[in-house]
Amino acid sequence: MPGDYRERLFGFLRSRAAGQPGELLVEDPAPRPSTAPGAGDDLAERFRAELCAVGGEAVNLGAVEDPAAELGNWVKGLGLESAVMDSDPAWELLSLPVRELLDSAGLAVDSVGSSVTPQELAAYDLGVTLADAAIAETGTIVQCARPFRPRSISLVPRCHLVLVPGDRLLGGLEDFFEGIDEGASWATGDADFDSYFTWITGPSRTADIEKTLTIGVHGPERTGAFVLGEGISDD
Amino acid sequence: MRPRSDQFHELSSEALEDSFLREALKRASSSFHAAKTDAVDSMPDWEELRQRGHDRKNLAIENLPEALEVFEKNLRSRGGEVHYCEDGAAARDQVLSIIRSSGGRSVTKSKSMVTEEIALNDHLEAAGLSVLEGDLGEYIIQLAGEHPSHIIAPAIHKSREEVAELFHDHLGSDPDADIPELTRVARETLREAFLGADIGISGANFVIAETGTIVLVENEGNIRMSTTVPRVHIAVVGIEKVLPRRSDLAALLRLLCRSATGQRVTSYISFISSPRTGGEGDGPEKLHVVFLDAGRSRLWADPTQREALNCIRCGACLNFCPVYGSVGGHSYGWVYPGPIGSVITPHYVGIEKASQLPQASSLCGRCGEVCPMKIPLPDMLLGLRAKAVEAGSAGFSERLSMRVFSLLARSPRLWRLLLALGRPFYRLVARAGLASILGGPARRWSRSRSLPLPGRSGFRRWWREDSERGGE
Repeated sequence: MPGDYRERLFGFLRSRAAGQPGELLVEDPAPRPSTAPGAGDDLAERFRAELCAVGGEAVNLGAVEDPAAELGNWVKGLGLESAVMDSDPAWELLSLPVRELLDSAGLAVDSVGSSVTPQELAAYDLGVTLADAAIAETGTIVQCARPFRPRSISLVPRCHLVLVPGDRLLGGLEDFFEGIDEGASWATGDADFDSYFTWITGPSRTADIEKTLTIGVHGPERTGAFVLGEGISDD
Repeated sequence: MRPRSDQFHELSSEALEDSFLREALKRASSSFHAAKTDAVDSMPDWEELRQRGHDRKNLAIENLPEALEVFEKNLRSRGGEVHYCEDGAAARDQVLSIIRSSGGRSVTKSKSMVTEEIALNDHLEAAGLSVLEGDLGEYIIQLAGEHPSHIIAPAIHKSREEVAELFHDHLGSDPDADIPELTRVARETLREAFLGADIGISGANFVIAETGTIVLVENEGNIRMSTTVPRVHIAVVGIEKVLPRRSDLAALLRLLCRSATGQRVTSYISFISSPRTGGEGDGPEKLHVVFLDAGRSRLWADPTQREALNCIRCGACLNFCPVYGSVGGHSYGWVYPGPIGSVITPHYVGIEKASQLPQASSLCGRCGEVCPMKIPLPDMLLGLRAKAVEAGSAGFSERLSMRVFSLLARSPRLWRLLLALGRPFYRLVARAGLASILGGPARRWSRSRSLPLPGRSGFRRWWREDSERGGE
């Protein structure tokens, strides 16, 4: 019986454990390494540089003349036919009309809720999401569990487009973990980091044959991240 | 996988004859070296980070029963299930019974050393299930009917031509396909499998006590597939993988990614603490963690070796080991190669079945220096050698020669006499070539080595005369 082994194992481990009772979960804040960006650093620029360095594509829309044209041109350049967006209510809060831009780039765009299956999503060329957080230190996009967004929308379409609200862009890894532990504004509401989240840093890659880097093995072959000059809760 | 770790001599001799393997190992190690060196050089706080990683992991290992219990409680509170298995057989049966009770038929697997350790695939296939490895390297190895030879790059010993031939035979692709084309073929074949699978099996890079989270680190996206699409996700995890708090990952992920591939972080890292939640449309409906002991608690109970459980399987000690770099992973005869394999294999399969492994090291110390978790691998190898001798592994000739050496080393006069007598003999051997003179068991050693011709007079005499000349 498997249950029996649990008792035996814990009995054995308890008879020899060396730690002090209660010390396991005591708070022990991590020191920030000097490579993590801090106050005063340009997070959007650091994010952009880090993501581009690993084969992702990133644009700081806050620093360009015409953000709508920038995004529209990138989408057109992909040469794709279909796109799928989640039904995040926050899309309505953006001043950038993302869905219209996709439409006018010639894509057939569907919005989906949580009832869509991964098999259905796999038929689309482009998955479009909002980042729940982004980490400048590593050029990382974070997607957590949300009721209106399937987990596989950022995985099974051939390409992934993600918009990063300015107020969800963080400095280093420590800022992210502290934010979810302490319930920062971007980590609350229906953003559920306690059930599931994933970090996405650039396109899917492998070097399993002769150590030769190849892009797009199981996940998306192109990942475009556009940092917005605006935040979602700025109003 | 049945251990063959008592055959290191035979397996490594075969490997040394394989010229493609030696080329592949050379290429891999130079690319791993460059990547890791860059990643560490660009991190001025690397030593502080290593210390932090070591301390946080040690805290979990020192408090192992509590850490496991807290993890279990947290995962259960969100609907996950936790099982404990004494050995590989129990874990295989546990996984199979979960699959059976959920009516599953097709399995996709992500790369996991622990499932290699318990030979899970064979067991599931024998039970009539279809099992596909999702990681490209593992998929190649699976088609070839082989075992991985490196923790990070399982198919490192396969050439592009061999992969093209395998894919041609099994999947009907172009026999001359290049690497991007081979990758595309694998993507298409596996995509279909992922979308049709009802069971996903993974390992875990870390599990977090504080939040009941399974952490999975990868580049391809196959782990996200196996843990998102199928109805059931089963993670098979060694009991040593636990960390105290979620925030500890800031340090541990930096250490792992930079040491393994030189990346700051890998393309995908998943943090799974729950089956799909009420509002979600995908993600597994059932989430199981199968904890495996299989020798780990025995190793844990030995305070001189316990730190081996701090290993995060980055592969750095393999990449920097001159022995691994010459003989490759299969020579170690089981799942875990390189210095860390030489330390843990004797504990997991029994020292009597792996007594040669602690000898498979020149004790140059690089493994200990590059280990991001500061595991004192050279000290542990020495400790295991001592244990092997205590267990009676040393043969008659080894014991005799050590006894003679200890006699000579304690008597300066005898030592000098032997040196004076030995020099002409040594010159003779060096001139004639070692192999032609040394026979019997010494032949294995002498066959691939030559001796430099020694000078006519010895070091002691040179030192004395040099000192008299004033040391110029």
